[in-house]
Amino acid sequence: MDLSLFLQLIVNGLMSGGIYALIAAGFTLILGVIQVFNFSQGQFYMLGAYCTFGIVTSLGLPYPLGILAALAAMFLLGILFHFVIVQWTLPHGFFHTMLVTVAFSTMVGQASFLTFAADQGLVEPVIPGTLNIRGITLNNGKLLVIGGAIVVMVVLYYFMKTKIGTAMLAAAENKDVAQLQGINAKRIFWVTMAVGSGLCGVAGSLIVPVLSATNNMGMNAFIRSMLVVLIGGTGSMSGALLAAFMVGIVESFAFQYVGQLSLVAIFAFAAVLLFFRPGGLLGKPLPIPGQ
Amino acid sequence: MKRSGHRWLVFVGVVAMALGLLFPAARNAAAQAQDVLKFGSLVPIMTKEGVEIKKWNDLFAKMANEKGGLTVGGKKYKVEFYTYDVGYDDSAKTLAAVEKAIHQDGVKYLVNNFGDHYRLTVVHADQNKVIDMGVGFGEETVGTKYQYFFRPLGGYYTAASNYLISRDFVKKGAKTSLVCTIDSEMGHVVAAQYGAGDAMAGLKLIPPVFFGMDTVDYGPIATKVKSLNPDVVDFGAAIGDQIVNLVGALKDAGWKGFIFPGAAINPTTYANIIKRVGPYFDGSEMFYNDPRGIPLVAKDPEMKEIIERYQKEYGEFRTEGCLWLQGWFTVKDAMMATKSVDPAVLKDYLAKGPKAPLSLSGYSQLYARPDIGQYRTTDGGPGNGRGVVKNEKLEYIGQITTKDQYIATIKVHKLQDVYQKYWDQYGKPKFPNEPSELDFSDLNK
Repeated sequence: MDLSLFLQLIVNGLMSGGIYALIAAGFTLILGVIQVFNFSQGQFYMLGAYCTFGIVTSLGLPYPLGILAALAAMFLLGILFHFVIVQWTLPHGFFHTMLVTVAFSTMVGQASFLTFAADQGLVEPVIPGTLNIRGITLNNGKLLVIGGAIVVMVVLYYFMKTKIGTAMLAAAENKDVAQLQGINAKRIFWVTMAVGSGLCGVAGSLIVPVLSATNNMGMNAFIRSMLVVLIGGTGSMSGALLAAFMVGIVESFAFQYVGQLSLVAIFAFAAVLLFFRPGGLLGKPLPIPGQ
Repeated sequence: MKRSGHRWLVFVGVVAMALGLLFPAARNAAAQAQDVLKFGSLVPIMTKEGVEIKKWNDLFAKMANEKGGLTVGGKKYKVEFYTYDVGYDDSAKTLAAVEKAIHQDGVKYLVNNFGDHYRLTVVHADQNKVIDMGVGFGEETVGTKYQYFFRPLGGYYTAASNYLISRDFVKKGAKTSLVCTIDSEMGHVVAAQYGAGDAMAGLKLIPPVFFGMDTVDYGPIATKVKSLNPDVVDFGAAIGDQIVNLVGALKDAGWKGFIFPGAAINPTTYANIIKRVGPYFDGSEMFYNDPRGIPLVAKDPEMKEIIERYQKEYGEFRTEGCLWLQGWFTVKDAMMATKSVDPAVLKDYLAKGPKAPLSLSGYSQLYARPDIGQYRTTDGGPGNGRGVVKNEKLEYIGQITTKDQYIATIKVHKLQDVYQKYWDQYGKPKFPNEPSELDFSDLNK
C-alpha cells in the first residue's frame, strides 16, 4: 500500500474517531453513573446541531454563542428528561429505563422529521480550509472536532475527581451506601443526565460546520458511539476516547477495502474484542441485572 | 289532543331530520358522481419536494375551479386535489394513504407522486381501476402486469441526462468516470444507468463506490474516490446532506475533477454546497429545474400563467416541486384528447402513444418497452433543463429532450434490433417539436 494512502487512512480514522468520541462522552457518563443505556443520546446530539444552526444562521449570532446555547438547551432538556421520564422508571430496573429512552428517542426522531426534515442545516466553516502535509489532507473543522473531543474528555476526567465527580462515582457504585454517607443520589443522577445531555449538545455544535445537521444524524452517530462505549468500557472516559479512535481507524481502512461492508467490519472488530475483554478496553462489563 | 299534538311534533321533527340528512348526502353523491374530478397525490410532506408538490396541486385545483372547473368534452368538472403524506418510501404510510384515497375519498387519478412505496401503490391502484402516474425504477411496474400504471417521470428512458452532461466533461478533457452513491436498490439501479450514459459519452468506467445511508463521516469515502483517481464523479441517487458532505469531503481530500451531483439536488442542497466549498463547485453540471429559465417552458402561455400565478399565490418562487408534476399534465391532456374522465378510457388512450404534454421541466413522452415485451406506452422519457455552475451560479445551457432520452437509452442498452422490429410493426414515436441533440441516425454511429 502507498505510504501516503496509509497515513491518510489513519488520519481519516482519527477524524471520524473525534466525532464518535464527542458523542460517546455523554453516553458513557450516563451509562457509567446512572446506569441508564440512553438510546436518546443521539437525538440530543442532533438537537444540539440544529440549535447551533438556528442561533448562527437564523439569528446571525456568533458561533461560540451557538455552542453555549446548545450546551444550555440540552442541559435543560436533560434535566426535563430525567424528571419527567427517567426517574420514574429507574426503580423498575435497567431494561425498563432503556425502553423508555427508546420511546423518547422515537418521539424526538418523529418530531424532528416534522420540524426539520425539509431543512438541511449547515453553518459556514468556522476555520475554513484544509491542511495539506505532503499529500495528507486534514480538514480544519475536523481538527477542531478532534481538539474538542480531547478537551471534553480531559475536562470530564478532572471533573470526576472533584467532590461532585467523586459523589457521582460513589452513587454509581452503590446508591444506598452513598446516601448513608450524606450524598444526595437523586441530585447526582439529574446532574449526570444534564451534563451528559449537554455534552451531546456540544458535540452537535462542533459537528455542524463540518457535516450538515439532518434529522437522522442522531441515530447514525448513536450506533457508532454505542460501539465506542462498549469497546472502551462502561463509564471510562479514556477508554471511550481510545475506542473512538480505534473504531474510526477500523472503519476508515474497512471502507477503503471492503466498501459498504465497513459497518460489518466494525461490528466484527467489536465482537472479537469483547469476546476477550467483556468489560471493554478500560471499563467494566455492562450492568445487566442478574449478573 | 295534547298527546296527538305531541305525536305530530315528533313526526315533523323526524321527517325534518331525515330530509336534512338525506338531501345534502344525495346532492353530494350526485356531485361526486357527475361533477367532481378527484385527484390524489402521494408525497412525503417532510421533504421540500413534498411541500412544494402540495402547493402546486392546490394551485392546479384552484386555477381550474376559478374558471368554473376543468372542461372535458364540453362539460365542466370541479377539481378536488387531495395530497397525502406517505413518509419517504414508507410502506405502512403509503398503504394507509392509498386506501384512504381510493376507498374513502373516491380518488380516481393518482398523480404527481413522489417518495411513495410505489410497488404498493401500483397494486392497489390497478385493482381499483385508478390511474397511477407513478415513480420508481425497475421494470415490474411498467411491464404487462398492470394496466393503470404509467411512469411519465421515467426511470428507464433517462440515459441522455448522463450522456449529454458527460459529453460536456469529455470535451473538457475527462477520460474516466466513477459513480459514488448510496448502497440501496435505487442506488444500484441508478449506478448502472448513469454508468451506461457515461460510457456512451466515451468515459471509461471505474467500478462504483457505494456508501451506507447511515454514514456519519464522509472522509473515508472521499479518500477512496481520490485513490481511484476518476476525472468525473457522479453521485447518482445521493440526496441532500449526502451530496453536500460528499462534495465537501472531496474538496478536503484534494480531489480535482468534474462533478455531476445527481438528479436529486434542490436549491437548499445547492446553497449548502456553495456555503461549504464555494468556487470548488464551478464547472459541475446538473439538472436545471427553474422553469423561468428554461426557454421552452417560460415562453409557453399556459406555463407562463401557472408560474405567474404561483408567484402571486405564494410569493417566493421555489423550484423543488417543478420536476415532479408531469402526472397532472399527462392526465389533463389525456382528458382533453379523449373528452372523457373515465379512467378506463384514459388508460387505453395513454397506452397507445399519446401526444407528449409539456410540464414545468419540459416535454415528457410515454413510450413502449419492447425490450421487456411491453407494447403499451407506459414508460416516460422526461425532458429536463441542463445547467452548469459558473462563478457559484447555476446557468442554463440546454435542454435534455424526451427524444434524446429515448434514443440515448436504446443506444446505451444496445437495443437497436429489438426496437427496429417494434418500429416496423408500430411505427416510430412522434416526438414533440423541439430541437434535440440526438436523432435516429445516431443509433448506428
